[in-house]
Amino acid sequence: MVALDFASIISQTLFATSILIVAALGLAIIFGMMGVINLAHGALITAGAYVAYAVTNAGLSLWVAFLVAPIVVALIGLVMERTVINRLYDRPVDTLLATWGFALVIQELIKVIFGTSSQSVPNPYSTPVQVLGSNLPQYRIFLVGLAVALLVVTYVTFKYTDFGIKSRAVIQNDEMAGMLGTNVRFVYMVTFMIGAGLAGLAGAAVSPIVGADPRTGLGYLVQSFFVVIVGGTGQLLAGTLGGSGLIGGSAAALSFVSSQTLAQTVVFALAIVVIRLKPEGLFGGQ
Amino acid sequence: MDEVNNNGGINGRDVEVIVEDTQTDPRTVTEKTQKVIRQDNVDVVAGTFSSASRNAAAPVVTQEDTVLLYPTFYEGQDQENFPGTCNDLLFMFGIVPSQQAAPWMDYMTSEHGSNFYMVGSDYVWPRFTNQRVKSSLEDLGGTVVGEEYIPLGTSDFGSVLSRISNSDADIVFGTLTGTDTIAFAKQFYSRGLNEEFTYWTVDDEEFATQGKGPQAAHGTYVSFDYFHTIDTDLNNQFVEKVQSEYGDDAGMDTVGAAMYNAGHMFAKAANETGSVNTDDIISGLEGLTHTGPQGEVTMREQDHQMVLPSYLTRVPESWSDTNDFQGMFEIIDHQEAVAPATANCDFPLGKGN
Amino acid sequence: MSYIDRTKGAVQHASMSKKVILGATAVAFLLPLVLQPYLAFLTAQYYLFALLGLSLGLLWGYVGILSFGQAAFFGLGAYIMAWSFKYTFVPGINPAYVALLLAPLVTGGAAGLLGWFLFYSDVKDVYFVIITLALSVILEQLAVSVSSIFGGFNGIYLPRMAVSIPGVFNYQLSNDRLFYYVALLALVGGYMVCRRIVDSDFGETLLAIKENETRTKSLGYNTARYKTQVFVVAGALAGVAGALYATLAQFVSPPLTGFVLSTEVVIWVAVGGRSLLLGAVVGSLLVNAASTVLSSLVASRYILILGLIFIAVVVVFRKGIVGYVADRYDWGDKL
Repeated sequence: MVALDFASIISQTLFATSILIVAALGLAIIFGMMGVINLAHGALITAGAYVAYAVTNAGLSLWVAFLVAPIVVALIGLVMERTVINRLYDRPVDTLLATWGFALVIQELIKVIFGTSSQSVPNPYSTPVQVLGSNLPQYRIFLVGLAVALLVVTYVTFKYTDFGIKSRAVIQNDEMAGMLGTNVRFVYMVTFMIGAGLAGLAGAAVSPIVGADPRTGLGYLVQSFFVVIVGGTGQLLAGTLGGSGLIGGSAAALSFVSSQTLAQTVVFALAIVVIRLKPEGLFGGQ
Repeated sequence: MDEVNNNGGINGRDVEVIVEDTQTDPRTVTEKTQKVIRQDNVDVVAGTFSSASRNAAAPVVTQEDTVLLYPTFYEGQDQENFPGTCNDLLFMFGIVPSQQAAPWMDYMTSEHGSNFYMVGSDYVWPRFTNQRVKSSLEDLGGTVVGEEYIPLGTSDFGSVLSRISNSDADIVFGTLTGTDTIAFAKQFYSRGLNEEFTYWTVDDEEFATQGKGPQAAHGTYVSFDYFHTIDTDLNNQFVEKVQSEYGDDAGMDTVGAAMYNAGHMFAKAANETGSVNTDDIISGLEGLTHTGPQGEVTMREQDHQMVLPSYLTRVPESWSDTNDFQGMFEIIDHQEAVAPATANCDFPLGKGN
Repeated sequence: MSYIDRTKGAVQHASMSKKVILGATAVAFLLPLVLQPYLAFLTAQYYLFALLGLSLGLLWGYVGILSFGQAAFFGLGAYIMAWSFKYTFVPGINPAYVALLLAPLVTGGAAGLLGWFLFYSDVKDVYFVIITLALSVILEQLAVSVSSIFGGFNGIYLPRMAVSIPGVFNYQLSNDRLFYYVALLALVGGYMVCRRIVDSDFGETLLAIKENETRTKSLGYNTARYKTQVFVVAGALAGVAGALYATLAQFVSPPLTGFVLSTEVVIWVAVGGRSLLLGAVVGSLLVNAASTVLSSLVASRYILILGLIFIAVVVVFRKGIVGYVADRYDWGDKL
């Protein structure tokens, strides 16, 4: 048995949490805020990863991909929203079905365009850094920073900007907001696009350490839903942070003491227990 | 099959190929195998990719008394898995662990050290392969300093990598599969572990390595019976044909080559016995020798396993283009006619019920 | 009036929908006479998937709870059948019979446990979706890694079941046309069970819960208990379907419990019409048949087409295909 290395556990917990935050934020907006059960979330992440592949394969840097991927995937979100989703805001179960249909279509289109085997996206940081005696991958440290940045930007956008305030108003009571002059349809559309764009960014963000494969997003789909549910849909940021921390952190910590399979099962069981005890999630309720 | 038909077909008749996609889902495999045999009336079934798919097809081919040609590298046969293995109707064209790892244990341990950390996906093939490798290793006086099995679909390998990093392993022996092996390799690289440890895998053929990309793959040792880059006349012709049909960027791997051999050997057997009757095909294939793109191969009569060459390769630092299958692997050494360990079956193989 | 006259009268007065259902059932019983054995095998498979779909239809249509984990029960039932043949739980008795009794007990029991855990604490229905989804994911991973019990990726083999009366006869149903009848009877039986539930007072309460749970609760009904009970039935039906499928295909492996199949079941029922039992059945039959046909025609891209069809159905047919037809021909809403 290899001795427990606290620096490793802490860094791994941070890394696991940050990746979940990045992956789940888009869903926290679409599902947590808008109530749309977006089963295409995983496919959108996959799309983001492939955009990153296409961009880097064309010779451009990964940072360009970070710009292009959210835009491209936000456009996919636009197509989804305008063609189908906007009719289904009052039919939550149908949005579930429609988004699953989109997930299948997007996944298959990716296979048609890029082929079925995995593609590689280069990691811009080729050497690890020494932190407190351990060799830590620079890219994961970057991801922690990205997670924090995204949380801050999202918070500021939805709390202080004009659009953000309108968005929250519309989601809380679209009739009132409409009567007060807000273009409700437009707000829904843009909010959905933001959620999709974040998923695309997440895909690009994880691609250097996970690759671009038609199945990339699937794993993040279930995990993202768990993060949003455990975190609770009441407060966007606290919920995402809390949910990611609990799930990512416990998974990381547990995997140091037991087999990975067991760790995963325990984490899911833990999430279910949390929901049972606090059905609205850790930070649930309006 | 185009080549077979160009050479006069089988017993003077052209071969028709019916293709079905099973999405590597056992349910669909059962259905499609039924369809091609009972509705399309095929004479032989070739394919299924995963062991699970092959196992799903097995009861069907057994019931319908049809031969199945299986191309994928796998863990080997065991009577317990009958009718998926140890079945007279099944012919295994892929390589097994005793041919992939065992021949190179000596070389790898003397070059790089004899402490192994084994990381595999959590299912039968990696566990079985590791078992075999462990016993070879112990015979050489080596030690297994770690052995871990990761659930399929894992994307975050942080904790495993920390443990590896803190261990005194010399060689990291990988039997991860699918997308997991790619994520692992990338994260392995991002922690600088490829400087400290030697990574040897028996799973990452051309397409998985392509997915890993140059950074993560450099320095990795891979061993199989076939590589795209093998320099024999036959292989060069084979690759050329593949590329003229599928594009210059097309690549070939061990599974594709096994299918190619399977097709030709089936045709040979059928031509020699003069029929495509199941029993005739079986006797025709048993003991049949063929020159494949990787060299001479033989279908062993006793257990329907192939005697294959074994190649040890390494991904060189010079490989930089993910579409360059020629430069992807650098052959270090190869051995001809490596016989697989005898299958753990009741002999002679039966068709059972 | 003679018995014959009364029956004739009943048939004449029976609603259009009943006639259609009875007619279709009669055709189904006669089909094996003209079907090739391969098609009989295929159709039997479809019937068992339809039974699985029915289990979801009952839960979703009549209580409004969406379970994304019915495959977990289906797969578990399949494994129980496989284990019954492998380990001979009760010596001397036909292992298939043992499994057919054990499977619904275990899967129903598991559903009951989960229901008790979740419904009694008022978990939001939306969360239920995700939890049942996770159930499928975890079970599949366990089935793959705990290969000593589940056979792992390589799966477990089992023979086709036999019908038997101990001491009298034992006849193995290797003939696919014969097994077809077993599958058909299971489907018809399952449907009748669901109809009994739905047409009863219990069923009325379920609809009330689906419409407005808070109000029903305030009227004094223990809604959690009702929900759990229906979930148990749904779990049991899925388990039986799985057990029979196992002995039809003669092979079980982890994907039978997994996420992909669970989501497919939801699609089948949604396409057919989730508020109607018949919708669940017909949807399952239609989508599976369409998949088979499409995949043979278009080999690699059929999932794409399926996804597009699915989106179209959701948007156009709010109540699913059967729901749409039922509305047009005014067949009522108790199908």
